[in-house]
Amino acid sequence: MWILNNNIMRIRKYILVAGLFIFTIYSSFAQSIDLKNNECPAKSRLAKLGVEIFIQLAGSKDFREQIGASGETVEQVQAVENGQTCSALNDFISNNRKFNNINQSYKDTDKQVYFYKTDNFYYVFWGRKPEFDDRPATGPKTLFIVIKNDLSQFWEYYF
Amino acid sequence: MLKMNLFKQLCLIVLVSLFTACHEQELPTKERTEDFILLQNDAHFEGLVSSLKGNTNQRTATNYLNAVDLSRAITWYDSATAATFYSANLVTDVPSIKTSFLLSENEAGEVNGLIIEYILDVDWYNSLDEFPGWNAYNGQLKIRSMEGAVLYSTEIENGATKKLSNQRLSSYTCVTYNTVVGQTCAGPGGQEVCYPVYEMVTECFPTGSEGGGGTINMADHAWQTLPKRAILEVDYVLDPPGTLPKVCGDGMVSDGNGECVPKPDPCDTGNNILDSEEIQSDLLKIWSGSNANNGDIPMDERLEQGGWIIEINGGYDVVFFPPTFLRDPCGMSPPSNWKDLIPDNIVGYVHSHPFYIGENTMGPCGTGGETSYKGGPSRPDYVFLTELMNHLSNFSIKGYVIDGNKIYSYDYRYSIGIVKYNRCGY
Repeated sequence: MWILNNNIMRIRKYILVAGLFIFTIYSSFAQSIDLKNNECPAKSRLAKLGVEIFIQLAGSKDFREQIGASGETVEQVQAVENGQTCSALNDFISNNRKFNNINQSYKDTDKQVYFYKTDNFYYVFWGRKPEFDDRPATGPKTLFIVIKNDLSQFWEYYF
Repeated sequence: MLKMNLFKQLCLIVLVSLFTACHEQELPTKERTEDFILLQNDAHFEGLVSSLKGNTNQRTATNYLNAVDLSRAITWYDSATAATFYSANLVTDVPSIKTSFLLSENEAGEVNGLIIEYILDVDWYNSLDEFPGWNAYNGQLKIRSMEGAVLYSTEIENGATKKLSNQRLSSYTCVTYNTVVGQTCAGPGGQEVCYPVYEMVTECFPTGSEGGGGTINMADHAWQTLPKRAILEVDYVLDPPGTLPKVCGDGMVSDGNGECVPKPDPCDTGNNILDSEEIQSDLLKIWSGSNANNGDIPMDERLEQGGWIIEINGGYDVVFFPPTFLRDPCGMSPPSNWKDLIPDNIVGYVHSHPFYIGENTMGPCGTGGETSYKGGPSRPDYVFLTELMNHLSNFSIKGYVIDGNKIYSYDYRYSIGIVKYNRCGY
């Protein structure tokens, strides 16, 4: 009986140590994810130009009217540089299976995600990295996500 | 002893230096023969091409010179002009056009270059049961300056000039024929089979009056160096001698890649550029090069193709993007010096989307692509056009996209929208 109790005690101790170990690992990992999540993507001159074109494009006029974005102007276009906003937008991507798949598929390629904004909307899309700003390339229409600035709604547009 | 050694070493260095200096100045001997000689990786020819490169900062010329295949050239001496000529292929992506670079070097060491385009008449080529020989050749011949200007343009019928579009040069007639310049052997050791290597030769010579009557005197122009003969090489990898060309049925034409496609409707769009016969011919080449003649071709085997649209001699032409523009089914990525490659007189740029409406482009274009291709220019296409316009400060430049269903024209007026045309000319 004494031997059995002693074994149970020992097992509890192991479980406690293992639990502490797992908790420590998880905490540091979670912290690193948070740090990464706050990072804003690099800015690109050509990516910004793409948003400016979207705002003026006749082909997107109906779409912009439908989502209430027809009042946005080229002058308002700027990169998202606030860590909290970038964190929220990174979460927005991670929490959507489709967007997350797209984001993952561009890892280790010459493309990256971009976050831009106007007064009332965020624009999330993928394009060539800023180091290619000196050489614009032709390419296919790809997903261009327009998000209300309170993150309450989003719309997909292929452009 | 030490002094002696030093003296010997000094002498040796002087001798080696002298030898090296002499060797550097002595380019490989040029044979003065009117026979055609095949050169391979010839240092003298490479040196001449380099000297031309060093003497020009003109974009189109540099572009041409960078595409010269230096590994293989034909040379001959022409006693009539007392000049040695060299001919080499230009590396291009369009199999139905053979482009050659012709270089002349006269007694005074003056070096001039010309570009020669030989455009197969695909209808003729595909109407044959057997190859009739070059003396029955049908197609187009264009001679361009190094700056890309068309100096001479003619259609060749049965190996001889059919009509001349450039009346300034109406006093010239060209004939085309084959000549053997060597042989090539292939096969495993001891079982090699050898074939003669032919080169197609086009001779242009004066017939009738020259100058006067409002024509431009040859001496005023760069094309005064128009050689007596222009060598045009045939790619025997693509067109091996003795093979029968593919024959297409009624209402079909070759797509330039060995397949028959329905004969395209000519363009009557009201758009001057699209309605130009030259542009329609170029669109066919672009579409053929895109390998998207039908929707059964796997999408990852298709390629975007394109070029600059230029205005020239009152008409339009396409200067195809050089091989340094990296291509895939979903885009073309230019080199960092792309601005230097823009030809003069540009009025637009055209490229293909090698897809048909409704196709799922996510496979070749990635997960961000369209599940159902809808056509029209993309964000990168607009960005490319905007960068082009900004660089040249020319906001009249238009973009054109051709796909399996439509032609789209777009310009800086994003708010005006896209003009769609039914597919024509390709």
